[in-house]
Amino acid sequence: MPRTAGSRLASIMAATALTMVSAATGCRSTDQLVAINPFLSRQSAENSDLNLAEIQASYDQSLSNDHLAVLGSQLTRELILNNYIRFMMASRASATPDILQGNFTSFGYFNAPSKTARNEYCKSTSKFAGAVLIGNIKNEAQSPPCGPGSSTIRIPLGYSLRGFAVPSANRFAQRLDLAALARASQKPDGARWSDLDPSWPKRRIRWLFSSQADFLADLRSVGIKPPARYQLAATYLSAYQNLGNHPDNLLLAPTNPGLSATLEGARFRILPLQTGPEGRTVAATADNLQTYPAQLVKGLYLYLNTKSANSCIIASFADFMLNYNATLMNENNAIPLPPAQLRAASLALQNQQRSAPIGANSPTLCKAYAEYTKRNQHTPQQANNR
Amino acid sequence: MNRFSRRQLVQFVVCIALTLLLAVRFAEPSSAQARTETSGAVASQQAIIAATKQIDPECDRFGRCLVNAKMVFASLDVERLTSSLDQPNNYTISGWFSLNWLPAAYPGWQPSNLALGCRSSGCRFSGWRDNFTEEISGRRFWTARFELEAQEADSFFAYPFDQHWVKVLIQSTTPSTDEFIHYIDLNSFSVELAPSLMQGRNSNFKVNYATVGQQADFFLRNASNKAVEAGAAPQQQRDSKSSQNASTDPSEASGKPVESDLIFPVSNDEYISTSISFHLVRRTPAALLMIVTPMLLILFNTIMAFHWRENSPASRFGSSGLLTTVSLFFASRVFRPDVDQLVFSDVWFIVVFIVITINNVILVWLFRFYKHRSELKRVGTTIPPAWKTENRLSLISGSAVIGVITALFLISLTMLRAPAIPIAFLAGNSNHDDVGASVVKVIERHELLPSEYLINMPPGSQRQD
Repeated sequence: MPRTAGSRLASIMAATALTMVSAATGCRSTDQLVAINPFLSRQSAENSDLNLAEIQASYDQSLSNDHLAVLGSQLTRELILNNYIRFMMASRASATPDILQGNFTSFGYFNAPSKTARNEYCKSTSKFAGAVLIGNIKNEAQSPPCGPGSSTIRIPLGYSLRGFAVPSANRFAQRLDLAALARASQKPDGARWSDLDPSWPKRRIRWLFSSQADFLADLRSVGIKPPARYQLAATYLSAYQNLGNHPDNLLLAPTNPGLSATLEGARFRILPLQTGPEGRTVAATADNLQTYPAQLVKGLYLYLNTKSANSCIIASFADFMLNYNATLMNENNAIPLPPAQLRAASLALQNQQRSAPIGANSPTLCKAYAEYTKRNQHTPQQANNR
Repeated sequence: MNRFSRRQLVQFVVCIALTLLLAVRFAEPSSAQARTETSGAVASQQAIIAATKQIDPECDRFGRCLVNAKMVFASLDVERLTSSLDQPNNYTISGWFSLNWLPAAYPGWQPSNLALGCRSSGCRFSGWRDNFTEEISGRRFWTARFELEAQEADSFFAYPFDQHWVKVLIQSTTPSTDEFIHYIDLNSFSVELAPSLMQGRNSNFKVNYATVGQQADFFLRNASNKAVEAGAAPQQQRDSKSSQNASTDPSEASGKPVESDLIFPVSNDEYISTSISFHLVRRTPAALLMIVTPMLLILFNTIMAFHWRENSPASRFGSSGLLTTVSLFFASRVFRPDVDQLVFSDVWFIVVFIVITINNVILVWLFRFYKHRSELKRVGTTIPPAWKTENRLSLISGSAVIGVITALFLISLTMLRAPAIPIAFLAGNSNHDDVGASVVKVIERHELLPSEYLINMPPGSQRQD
């Protein structure tokens, strides 16, 4: 009898202990999870392998991280995305653990044509920390970014050229007389090749454009009347790839000296432009930046909102792109800034950075990049040694 | 003592000699191995550059032979993206994944080294099926079919106006192939949805945004080592720097192209992940049809039954009980995601219950009041006829219902709003990490359709650019 009572007591104690353990583990953790995080369902909590503390920490952390959005043209997207990855790696490589701890930086590139991007970015309610725009150099030089009194500074990054290309099957065209093309475009039935040079075929020019560029404005800027019929390619690269479809195609699109290489073979030729009656021609290369028709030279600009919460990240990124301008621009199909303009742009950015120095509360990436630049600055001793 | 010391000295000398011999014996191969590795790395780099030059003869001129060689082009074509209300946090994604790379830059690398994954561990990847491989001009094209059951941990409070992020991670199955993922080109990464998916024919969601991003996880355990390395590495840059304001770009200083891969090399301990995210919005018309149709019918029948003057009080309360039961069944079992939390459509049904209850209370008061109507008249109290009061109450009740529906409609409009840029958008898109950095390319809805590469524009078409 006493043995039975003892075993019953033991069973009760075991059952109580089991209940307490189960209450303290699975069931309780799920209940707490749902109670603490209203955005997490019980089902998802049960299915997840993460524990309560991890989920809660990540949930809180994701909202307190540094998020910055930049608006820009599709044409500059490659340049910005590729270089931002380099910027992340460079900053990370020099940063020490105390700098890297505790924050995550997320950078988003939103796409819009340059005109729309400018309008959206310059709104007073805009949440974008910056914008990357392609603009006419003269227009950009004449007006302050986003109008007078704006908190935006404009940093030039490089150049992009618009060029006229023909397929390699076109063996007659070796140059393009812009004035003759402008005159021929006024004809009601459209321009013919023979209008540009009597020795060329009397066939009609088949126009091809890329939707990535403001081709109507480009045509008008050099006096060419936009054609009634034309073909439109989704991207400028696909325009070049489709140029060989017909020997009479003529493409006006962004170009750069490395384009033929990028497209893996010369299936097209970018025509040198004849700009004056004396027959002097100028090719679309970086060396001819000053002599190429100014209407077809486009500047790449970074608009930086100095009042934005994370403006120091964009400023650091701009500094990085100016410091490695030649390498980064050449690699991404853009023309680097000439040395004098590069110095002026760096100076303008440095002045801005001086007005908002990086402190202990600055975002992680700003501190990491500051560390990187500090490490890369040579001392007078090193200079003397050389 | 002297003899002992000599013996000790001999032993010491022998020990030293043996140690030196062993050191030399083992040091020679390792240094030779190091030399071989270095020369091997240089040789392999030269082989890569040579392979790139076959495709891109001018790469030297622009300093991008290495970058071009390593660049990987990828695309994801999604045919199906579904989720059921029984398992609302599980999403099935199926389609085609394609890659294009230079095999010489990644010797021995196979697509089987890649897998697709998701943010949580409860994720099932079918593996690659129906593979197709082709080699054109030295570059390899590979495409394969996949099916992924991704699991997310998300809220359904806003159902049926809920929006979710579903993230697909491109993962390496072997650590040695991380570099391949790092070099996936974000700008050219194409994400396309099947037209049937865009029209909502085979999904209960529509895709508003997609993003392609790369994330660098800054591993702290190696950060100190990297800092030391980085301190030594930029010597080349320091040498080329002549003043504080001058460029640090070696290309600028030397006039010769220097590739960014050489200036900012990827370290072995770096982990870079590439991911694709979809921002899903529930197809509200279908969901509304499912929920609102039965709910409005219930509400309409209840109000009509209560206010039908010819009905007896017993019939009115009977129909109330019946319709409340039906409503409860719909609310709790049929048209809601299977989650243990209140969702927005539950709030609607709660409102329906409240309306029905208020009607009940009004009717109780009405019957009890008019039961004593004759007595009230006898004492000279002026009271309107029953039908007048009843109509007034019906009008008040109807107005209250319309008011509640309007309020719910306005709330639902706020729920339909896209996530605010940048915090809500990028926070939902991220992995919720607390260390590191990420870069994301945002693709809008119109860019997700299969692209037509060349369009014939008819005369008179005015395109706004």
